[in-house]
Amino acid sequence: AGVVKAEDYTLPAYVDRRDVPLPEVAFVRDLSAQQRALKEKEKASWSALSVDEKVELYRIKFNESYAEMKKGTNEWKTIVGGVLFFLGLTGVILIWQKHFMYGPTPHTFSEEWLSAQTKRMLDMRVNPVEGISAQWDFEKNEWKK
Amino acid sequence: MRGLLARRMKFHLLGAFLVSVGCASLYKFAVAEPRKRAYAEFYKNYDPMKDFEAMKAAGVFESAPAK
Repeated sequence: AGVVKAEDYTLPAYVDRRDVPLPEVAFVRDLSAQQRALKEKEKASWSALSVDEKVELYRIKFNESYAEMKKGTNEWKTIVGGVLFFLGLTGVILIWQKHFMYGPTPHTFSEEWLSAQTKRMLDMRVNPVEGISAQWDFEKNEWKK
Repeated sequence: MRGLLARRMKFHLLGAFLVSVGCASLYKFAVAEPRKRAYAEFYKNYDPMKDFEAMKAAGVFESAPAK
């Protein structure tokens, strides 16, 4: 007839979404004989249906209920665990690097150099309002308590 | 119909307003005001000449040697 068969993905699809309360198609596409009989019974009065039959009709039409859709998973535990694991792995790498790879720290980090450096900063009154010179007591020549 | 967006929007608009005003006032009272007070205190009895003499004596000036 010259008409291409409609691919599955081009047809209206069922979707479990909180903002789509009534999807375009029912969930179950091909009904079994039992389900078809139930659909016939549905055409009569609904009070004749038992509770199980009503639930079965619901499950034909929908996959997950809203409660099931909104239920959380335990995925966050995996994520937190993975993050902590890789942080730890990074720490191990850094420790290895410090121990095996890096050379000695520059001489400007020695105790003598650092104290001479701090003394010069205080002499110059670096940051006298809120910073380092504000923490030094110039009269008593010691750090403020 | 059920005002779902309206309710959510009202909640979040109020929340956003409170959070931003809260952050601003927290910053003002925890950072800005103490800093202003620290500067006022520092300069209340500040003697620049005395400070200069102290720094000169310590020998940090190239153009004003300690001698």
